[in-house]
Amino acid sequence: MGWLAHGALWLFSLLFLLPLLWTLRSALLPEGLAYALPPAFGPWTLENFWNVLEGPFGKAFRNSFLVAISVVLLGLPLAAGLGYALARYRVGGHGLRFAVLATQMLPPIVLALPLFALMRLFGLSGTLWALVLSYLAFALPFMAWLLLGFFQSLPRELEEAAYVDGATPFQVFFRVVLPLATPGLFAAGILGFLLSWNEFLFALLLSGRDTQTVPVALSTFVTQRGVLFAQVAAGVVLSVLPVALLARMVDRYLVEGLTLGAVK
Amino acid sequence: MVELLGVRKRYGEVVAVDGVDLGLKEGEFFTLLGPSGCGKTTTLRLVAGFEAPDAGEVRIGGERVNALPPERRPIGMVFQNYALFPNMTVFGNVAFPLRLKGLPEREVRRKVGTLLEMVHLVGLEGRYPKELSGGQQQRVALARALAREPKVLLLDEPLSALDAKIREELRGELKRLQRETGLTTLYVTHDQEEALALSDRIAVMREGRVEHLGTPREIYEEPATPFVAAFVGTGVLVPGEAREGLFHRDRPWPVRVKGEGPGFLLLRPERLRLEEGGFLEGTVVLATYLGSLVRLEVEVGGLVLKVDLPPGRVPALGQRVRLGLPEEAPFVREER
Repeated sequence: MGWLAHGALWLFSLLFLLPLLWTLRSALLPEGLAYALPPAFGPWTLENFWNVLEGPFGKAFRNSFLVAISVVLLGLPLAAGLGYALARYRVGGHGLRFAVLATQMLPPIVLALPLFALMRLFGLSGTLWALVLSYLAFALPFMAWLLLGFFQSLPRELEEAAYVDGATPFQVFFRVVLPLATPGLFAAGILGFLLSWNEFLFALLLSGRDTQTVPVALSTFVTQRGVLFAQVAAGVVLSVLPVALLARMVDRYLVEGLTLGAVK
Repeated sequence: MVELLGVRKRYGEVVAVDGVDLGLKEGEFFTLLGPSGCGKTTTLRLVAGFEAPDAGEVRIGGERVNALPPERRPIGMVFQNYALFPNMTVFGNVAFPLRLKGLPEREVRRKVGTLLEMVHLVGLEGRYPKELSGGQQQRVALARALAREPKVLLLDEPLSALDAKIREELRGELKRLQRETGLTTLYVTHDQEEALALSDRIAVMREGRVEHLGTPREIYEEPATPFVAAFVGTGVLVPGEAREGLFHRDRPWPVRVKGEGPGFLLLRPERLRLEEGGFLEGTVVLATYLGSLVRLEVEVGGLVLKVDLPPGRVPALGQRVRLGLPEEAPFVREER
């Protein structure tokens, strides 16, 4: 029975991993062989990675990182405050809760033009700030909603005990609630990071030549000579790496955070 | 030290606390006793400041505290599920209120040491709550509650999550600590044995009201209402009438009672005995072995009376026996 379960797990894992493994294979083949039929499995080369890193990709990588980390650093404290206020103080009642959720219901394209106009009006168009602010508009409510569930799952008696011990509401939040919510904060932070890291539409509309992010830079491999599949694959592998490493480093918190917050 | 004057609290349609008047003397161990949903925990939370009364006054040390948040009330509290901070060690938990006060670290260390000594937890400072047994966790909670040197200690069913043996052990320790510190203590429990063993005075609550307020002896031996008589201790309420100092049920019974009029005679199992020529005759319907005694159930004219016997010669089921009544017994007036 055990080998059957293991076999099934391997099969499903392979099904999920196959696209990634195929991308890795394409990234390690010379451009001409990446999409040759029948599929080639050699000769292997790192040339695509060097080509990608020599072009604008390196800068895009830095831009993506700056934007995503700014969204997390600015958004997470605000989301934690909002999530806690919604969870414990019922601020704004059902109306505010619905408003937070409603931001996730809008298709991004609906907001693309208004955001473009707004950023131009404030002179932010083409800057990284335009991306940070736009992503915050989506990531903040998303992170707040995730944390709301997490805060609700914390036993209220812990906060009450802290009050009786003489803590003010702010001390309770900072010294008791936040340390206990660490897994939730990690989960919200990583998902906020991913949301910003992978975003394409707003990045295409709002970024300039110097502020391109990774997804936009990847789209530049669609040239007049055709799609440079091997370089796209190399770019995808490079863009997945930091997120995969980050997730691996904190996967314990991530799983705990996602499941705990989701239970209630 | 703590006063509740006409305190009311309702949640929507439900009246949780209905005009409660209580006064705790300094250094007193006072217990709120009652079944689930009687309003005892809400009353405690009103004193703690987690709930605000809809009407009435809460006073601590003579000061009206209705509008004072919990962190500004001179209280310490132990919760039913301990409520220890899982991310802090034993030391961190006990030091938490002291650090909030801004005491220098050396003073914090000294005080935590004294408190842990008091609750017999020296040597466990570095452990996390999950590494402690239930009893040890409750001791940490107690030490943390005492750290702020409160004027009033609030205990919300602190022993209910523990198994019987540890509960009994901690009960004695709680009593000792309260005596040593002389702290005014408000204790909430549904366990009448615990209430009788620990308290200087008990308020038995029912449906948001105080049904009887008195010493453990008064509550047990002279319950004010049939509810209190049935809730505290084991006993059977025999309906009848008090007339000219004797209990009547069809005929006069040889039991002296106080009061007049219709009501109930409270017969506790430890006050009844098997006796040749006893006043009542009945049939043994059940015998339960309880270790130190055997509790017999005897059916007498439609009533099932309980009698405690030493484990030894116990009559067989179905055997006819005669029961001797106590010379005097509590008489509880019918509720109006």
